[in-house]
Amino acid sequence: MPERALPSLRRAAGATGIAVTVVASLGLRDPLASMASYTAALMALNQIAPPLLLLALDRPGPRAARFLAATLDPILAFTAFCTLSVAVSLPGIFEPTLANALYAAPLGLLELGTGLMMWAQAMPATRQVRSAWRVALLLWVASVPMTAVAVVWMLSPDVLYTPYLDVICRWDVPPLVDQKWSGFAMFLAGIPMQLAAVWLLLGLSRARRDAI
Amino acid sequence: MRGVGITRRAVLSALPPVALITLSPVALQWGRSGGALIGTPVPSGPTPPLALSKTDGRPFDLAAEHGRLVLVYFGYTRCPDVCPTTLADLASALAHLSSEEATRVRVAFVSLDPTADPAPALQGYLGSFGPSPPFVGLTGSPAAVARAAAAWDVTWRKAEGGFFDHSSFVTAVDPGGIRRLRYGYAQTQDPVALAHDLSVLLHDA
Repeated sequence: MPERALPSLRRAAGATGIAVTVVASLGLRDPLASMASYTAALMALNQIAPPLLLLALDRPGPRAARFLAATLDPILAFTAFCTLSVAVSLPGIFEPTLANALYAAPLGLLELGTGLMMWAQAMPATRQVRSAWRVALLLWVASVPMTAVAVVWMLSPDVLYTPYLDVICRWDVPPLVDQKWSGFAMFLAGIPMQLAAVWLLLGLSRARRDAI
Repeated sequence: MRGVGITRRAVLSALPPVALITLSPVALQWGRSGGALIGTPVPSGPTPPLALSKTDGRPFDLAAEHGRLVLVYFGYTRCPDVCPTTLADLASALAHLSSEEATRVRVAFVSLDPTADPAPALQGYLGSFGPSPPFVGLTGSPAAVARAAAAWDVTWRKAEGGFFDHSSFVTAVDPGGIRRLRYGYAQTQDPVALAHDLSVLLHDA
């Protein structure tokens, strides 16, 4: 039963990941989207789609494994992921030319890319570090900047997201409330990675594999 | 050999964070001078026309404002928060300019809802932020306003209860008639910094 169920579960995860990617990408194209829905779309590309897409992968062959080892270096993934998390969320702290260049780039694609790099550290087919506690630590620390930004957005008395994320004049959501909801969306988005860290730390993935 | 391999890998792994830390003083605003402009540069290109009517019925033509700094903003008078906050921010910034500078500035507020914002109502609304000039209300037929909004990259749609959702930014057109800078909602919140930008634009051209 599990032998047959696993491929179909993987296919379902992959299909869901593709669907999430498509819907989130379309959401980014609405010029009048609230910041909360814009953030939710970015977070879906960064935190929801990657684990689903990676779950669909089978164990790579030796040549693919070598390629993945080079491209999915844990420290490189960690650095790219944390840098993008902060850069996209608080562009105002960066030199304006750099922030302008970042926001001229396809942000959704960057979010998806760094999300895949980070989640690849936890997924069975692409995991580079065998030690569970090290991967758990990596995931947990990587989720900290995102959670910190989320808390800043939720608690700040001022609107921070400008000039690279346009504040839209929405009749139903004042900008500060919109920012708080954006922070909440980002806070929620960080939870799966933290749960994955706990899952790995408690050895639940191995226990499940042993049971199968 | 194994030791060498591990060392090389460790060095390669350490490169990204080391590079990031090294470049961070350049990337972050720590070294930025206090005199930098806070507005976002507008990509170069021709300034779109803004041919609408003023609240006194006379035509407004951006080309005729040569020699003045024009701050163009699209909104509507029943806007609950963003439009009035932005206009109040602009009024605060103007108060930080010298009287000579202030006389060379116009705030062109284009109503996205010309049907519900007749000229007298528009004039009364702008009067709560400052005299006219510098505050100039612009209106026209719905089609003319829609054309102007599209030309100035303003996206908008009607929402429930006669309200609107719309892009909110102020575009600064320098005295030479060139679109120079754009200000989002939070960029107008510091009146001193905004006034500094306006002063630079006034004296640059």
